[in-house]
Amino acid sequence: MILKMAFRNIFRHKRRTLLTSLMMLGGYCLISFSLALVDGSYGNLIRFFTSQKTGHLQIHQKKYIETESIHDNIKNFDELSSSLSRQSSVVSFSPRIKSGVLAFKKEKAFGAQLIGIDWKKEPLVTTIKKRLGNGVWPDSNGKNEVIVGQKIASVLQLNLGDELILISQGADGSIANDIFYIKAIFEAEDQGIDDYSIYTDISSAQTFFSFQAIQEVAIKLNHINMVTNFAKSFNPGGNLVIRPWQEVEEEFFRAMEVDKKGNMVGYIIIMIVVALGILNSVLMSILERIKEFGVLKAIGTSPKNLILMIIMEAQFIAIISVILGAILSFFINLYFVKYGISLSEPMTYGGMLISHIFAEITPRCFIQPAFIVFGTTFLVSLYPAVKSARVSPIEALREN
Amino acid sequence: MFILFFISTYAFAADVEGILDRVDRLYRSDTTFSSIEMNIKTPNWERTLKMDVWTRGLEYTFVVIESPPKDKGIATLKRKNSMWNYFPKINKVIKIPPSMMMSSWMGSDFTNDDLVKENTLRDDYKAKLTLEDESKYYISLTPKKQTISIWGKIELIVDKNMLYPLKQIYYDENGEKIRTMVFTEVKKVSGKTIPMKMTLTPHTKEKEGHETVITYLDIKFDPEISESVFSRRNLQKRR
Amino acid sequence: MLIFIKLGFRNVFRNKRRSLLTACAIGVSICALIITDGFMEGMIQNMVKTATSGLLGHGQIHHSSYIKNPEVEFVIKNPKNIESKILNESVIQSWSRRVYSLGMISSPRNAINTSLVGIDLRAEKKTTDIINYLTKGSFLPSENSVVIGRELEKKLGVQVGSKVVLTTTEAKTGELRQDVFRVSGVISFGSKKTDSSIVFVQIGKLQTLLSLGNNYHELVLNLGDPFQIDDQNNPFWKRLSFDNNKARSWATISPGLGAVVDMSALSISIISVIMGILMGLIIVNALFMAIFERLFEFGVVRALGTKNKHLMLTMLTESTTLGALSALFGIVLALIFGGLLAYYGIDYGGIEFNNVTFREPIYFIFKTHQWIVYPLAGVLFTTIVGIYPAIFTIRLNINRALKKTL
Repeated sequence: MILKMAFRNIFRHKRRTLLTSLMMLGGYCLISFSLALVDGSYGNLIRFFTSQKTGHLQIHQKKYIETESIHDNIKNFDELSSSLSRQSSVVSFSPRIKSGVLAFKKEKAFGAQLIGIDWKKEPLVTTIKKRLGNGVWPDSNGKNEVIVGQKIASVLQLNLGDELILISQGADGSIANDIFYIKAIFEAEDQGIDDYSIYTDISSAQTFFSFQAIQEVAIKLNHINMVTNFAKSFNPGGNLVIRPWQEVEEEFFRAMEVDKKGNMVGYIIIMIVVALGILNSVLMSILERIKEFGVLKAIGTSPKNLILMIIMEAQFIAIISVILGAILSFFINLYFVKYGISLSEPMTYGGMLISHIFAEITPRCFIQPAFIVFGTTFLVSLYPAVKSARVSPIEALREN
Repeated sequence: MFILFFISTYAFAADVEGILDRVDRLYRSDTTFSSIEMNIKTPNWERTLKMDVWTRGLEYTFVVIESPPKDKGIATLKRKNSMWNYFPKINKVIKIPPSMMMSSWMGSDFTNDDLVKENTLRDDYKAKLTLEDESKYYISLTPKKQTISIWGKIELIVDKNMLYPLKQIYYDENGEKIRTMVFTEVKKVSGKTIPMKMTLTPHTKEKEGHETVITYLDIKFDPEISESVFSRRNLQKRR
Repeated sequence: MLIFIKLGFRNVFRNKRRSLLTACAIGVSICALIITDGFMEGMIQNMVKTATSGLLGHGQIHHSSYIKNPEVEFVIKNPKNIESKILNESVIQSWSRRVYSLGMISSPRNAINTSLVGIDLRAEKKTTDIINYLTKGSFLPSENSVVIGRELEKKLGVQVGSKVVLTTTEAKTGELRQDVFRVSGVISFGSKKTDSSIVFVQIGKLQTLLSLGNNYHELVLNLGDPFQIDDQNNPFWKRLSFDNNKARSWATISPGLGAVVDMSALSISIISVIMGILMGLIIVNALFMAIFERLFEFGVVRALGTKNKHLMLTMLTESTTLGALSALFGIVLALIFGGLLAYYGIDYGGIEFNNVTFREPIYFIFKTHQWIVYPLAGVLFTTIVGIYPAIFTIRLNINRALKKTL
């Protein structure tokens, strides 16, 4: 009965209700948009970063993480491969073998890392193929074909087709030495992620290092948000560990977190302002109706019921606002997911060129604002509700 | 190349400097030619290399690997302060930059120090006879001020009779044992009585399970060796 | 005319509670903007100051070939010419020379490839802060001292006082050169990467080892304030780039750092827009509440023949006053929080961001524009937003207004 009254009261004071709900609606949408923007910009940054080299997760032999030694390797890739293929959330995975080498051209030497990859599988996990500048992506038939970064190419003055001598220590202790051929060169870039990398195919690398295992498997999932759960649930078996990108690229992750924290502060301020706005609205509209409440008390409404009614009124407005807000912000966010905010001047961040900031729709950009609106409304209506309930009907009726 | 030791068949009195001189020139003469087998053990692999070595004084060394077949033909030339490697598979001569001075030579426990260095125990270390019993001399060596060496102390144990080294222990400056070299299989070769086998064992935690054993299969002192042997052209000669 | 303004002004104080709350809400927004601005400023200054007082310096001069390919043979050409030119540039507070080479550092336990950096201790002390990054021991007391990065201490198994051998190659001949050194100190830049691959020696010693004579690779500049001439286009940099040498500001050498400045400008813009919309909402809300409350009153006022433009004036004055109150409140609030942040700061210690590790807490930085631009914008915005409710009031149907109660 009280609830029915509360509900109908809303429509009695149309303008007031409208204004209050506008405030809640606006606040909801803004919080939702802020969240979508924050999640989107970080989401994109992280996606971009991990797609360059890291992948979503990586599997290594346990000791390799500390030693990075060629001897701490994954011996049974076939078994791991079939195990990964059976996982529905895995889109692709790519095996890698790597170790330090000295690259020689004529009299010059350059310390680098030789990374043996699967020419077909690797582009499915990372954006490596997109980074090509000159030359063509090798096919699986070639042997000892390499792709080098701009830095090595310029220091050693390498061109397509040139010979490159690589020397290292083999896994059996022998001196690994062989001639490789430049099939492609990566394009120049600010961050230089390929500065010290020389890529070749896995079997050439295995022959070079005299061993048959691999060091690393990079994995790409359906969605990057599945990473933490997958890392927890998937057992790579034996002495292998699977780590999410947050662990593999710990420094980047921490820098992101710090940045996010900074943004969180801004976000909290927005929340506070929204809360104040709602407080303003609700508080005012309740306090101004004290006379009305006095009447209700005079005709015998219990204080408890009065409080309930006042609170529920506010909550009903909140519910309507939230529903409308969810719909509205969905479309607003969708627009920014698609088109983003275009920057007048693109800028580089962490070595990546950013020209747009995109939003991202996640559950929390609907849930969090809802909590805030409901929560604030409830808290804010508490005090005036109690106050109204306490006032004696006579005093209330006297108020003008 | 390695800190090699020379012994003479003449027995001298406990003249420390003389002893050191003999130890320094154990496997050296004006020229030498030797056939060496090196067995390297690590926790991850084990390998045996067979190589031919030519030396002139302490400054010139030429090594060619004869076995295993995979490494056959790999050659190293050291002339004074420079080092080159030759790899037959790629048919190239590479000058060794310091960044390639991987801490070990060919994967063994001998460091690049041992290779490049021309230190002699006699000239570059201060020696002290610390102990003497019926069969052995115990000599303690510390590097002189201008000596380029990473060691804090070297303990040398020499056979009193024939004056050949039995053991060499390397310490860091804190007195911690870093590696030990044991000399065994004493034989008479080309008129000299020398240990034909050296076992180098590191004691550090990082090098646990490592061991390098060098066995001289044969050694000739002062054969005719032309200058051209210690040349870059010689590196590339197909064998 | 004046009376309408006075009326508007007093109207605001008629409903103290509402006006106060509204001023509060908007004041907080304004305060937020000021604080964000000051904090971002603090972050940028912190980062730039840290980076430029470290190895980066405010500017550097190299041979142009060295920039592309850092080989030992690409020393600065005709260094004496540049050094004398420097004397004529008053903005340069101090400068220092450095020699770089790749080499190996060996201990009884390990041999590791590192960068060898030869520095002029006295000049370096005046030009950068790296001397203060020493964590143990002393900084190159003698010719045979080295200072090693913290990670090297572990990897080599050495301590202050230990003996090490440095191996490198001579510039022209490529011959191996070695010498014995003693670890005199341990240094940390806060970055694992740097700390595991850097070794300092006295510049003279490294020059001898490399047979460089008096040549060197890098000239580091201290300009007092890193922000002064950070624009590469400033003729200052051109004046110091001749003889195939190139002078660059820190912003050119480390573009990532410059990006942080852009990034924070962007963040502020986005926050401002969102705040603006919020503020607009709150004001409209408050003003309309006020209007509906006084519908009857407006009806009367208009029935009495008050001219539209006068009513407009009153309404606008109300919104402006509200804005001014909010601005005042915002300034006070910002002074408090800003003051706290300026004193205590937020500690990001140890976090590495863009290759710069925060060594000191980030403080709020007071800048004049914050206290003028944001509050003024707030007032202006409030006034503009108040136009719509004002127009609404004018258009009210008098009859309906007189009949209606809220």
